[in-house]
Amino acid sequence: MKVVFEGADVFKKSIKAIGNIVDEGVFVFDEEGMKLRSTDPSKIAMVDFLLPKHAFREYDVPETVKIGLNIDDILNALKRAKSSEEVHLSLTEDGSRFIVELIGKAKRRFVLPVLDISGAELPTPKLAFTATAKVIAEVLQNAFKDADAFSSHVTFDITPEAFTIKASGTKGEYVLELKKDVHDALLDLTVSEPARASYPLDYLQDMVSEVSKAAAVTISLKTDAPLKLGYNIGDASFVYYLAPRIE
Amino acid sequence: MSMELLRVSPRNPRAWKSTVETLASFLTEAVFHFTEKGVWLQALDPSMVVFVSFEAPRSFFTEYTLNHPEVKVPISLTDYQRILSRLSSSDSLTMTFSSTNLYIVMEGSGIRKEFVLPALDIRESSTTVTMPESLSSVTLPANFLKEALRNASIVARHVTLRTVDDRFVVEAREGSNVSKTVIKVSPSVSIASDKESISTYSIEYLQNILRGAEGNVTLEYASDSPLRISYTNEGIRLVFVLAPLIL
Repeated sequence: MKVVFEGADVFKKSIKAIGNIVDEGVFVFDEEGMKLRSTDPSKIAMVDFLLPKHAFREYDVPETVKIGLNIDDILNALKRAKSSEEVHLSLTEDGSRFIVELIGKAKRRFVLPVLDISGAELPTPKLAFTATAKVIAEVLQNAFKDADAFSSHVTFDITPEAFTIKASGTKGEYVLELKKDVHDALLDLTVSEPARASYPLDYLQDMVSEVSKAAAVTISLKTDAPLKLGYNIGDASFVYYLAPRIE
Repeated sequence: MSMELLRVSPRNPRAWKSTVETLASFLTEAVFHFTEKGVWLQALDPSMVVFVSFEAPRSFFTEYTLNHPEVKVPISLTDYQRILSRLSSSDSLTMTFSSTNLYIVMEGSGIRKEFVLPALDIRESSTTVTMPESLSSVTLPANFLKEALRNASIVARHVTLRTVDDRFVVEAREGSNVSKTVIKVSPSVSIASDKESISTYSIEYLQNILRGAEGNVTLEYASDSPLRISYTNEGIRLVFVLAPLIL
């Protein structure tokens, strides 16, 4: 297999967005594109990543390839990647090493170990969400920073009228309210049944740290159930699932 | 000693000790509420993964004297558990409380041990946990569940509980390693379920919850929802609500 991606900075952001949640995982290259679905070791969060085939300048994958990699290893290779560089990904002939090449004004080659990560492919969580809000990323990023001063957890509340984020602790309380048809940062609100649940703030901050400020982030909720949070970085799509806390 | 607000002696000091050990595995500090009816405590663990509710009726105590309708005893559970670890099997246990200290006396076999535990300034927040309406309910001997969790802990740190018709399945997977314990309806096991329920929880939390359980345990949950576990031990009622994990 060999694939070429133009714009190393977008690729680096994508890998960072994965690495914020998981330490290692199996990247699958198949007819749809480059994928990874993995949970963090404590099973509190899951990331479902897809960089579709059409996003690559070259995508030569005759058959499905699964490559177990340590995310930090890839990030080390991409550490000083520039937007003008191309990322070339391939395997050594015996499949025991993963090759990352950054090609721009020079050619840099990193050869990384392939990990033996066994196990069945994770299914997508089957959750019947009852409420969804689409929000500008910057508003969420700032809300999580604000909430961090008050608690290690936040409560999301979606009603037909508004999307609310609340954090409270011994130092006080923080509330962000986005009302439908009033606040521009709330791009869409779909509610079949109001939903409310609490989640750990550190995971949420990690999930949205790499998305661009202007991007749209979609949050789907069901009361006291795991949430689904999704967005795109360039052509790459990210869907995260996060286990709730008891409120 | 300042004015004595409370004097109690558990009928079964070992059951009291065991309960405090269970509570202390989640809570570092807590407020015991002694009322005319008995004693209760409700709290969320600091990470908000488990809600703990405890109550013991007045009849659990051989001596139960209050100088107010309700006496609150806010203490370090970590320290209280350490003190109670010094309780010998033949010891009686008497606790008295002034506004500033809890005095603990253990007596037996010609030896009297006295401990003083200072009262803490603990701010309580009211917590009510709502459960989904459609639940699967399983009642089974605690040792069945403990055995299933021991099996699961060999392969993973998380366990998936599945209730289907007349079967309750405790399953763990990590990579290619699998542990599966199937418990069927029997004279000692009852299962009530409208539809299949599947949810995943932390084995460590479950084992800590069940630490003091000796008789029957009741589990109530829906797919991807918090799990309510309740049991009664020597008249002491314990109810826990545990947050789910992903998958």
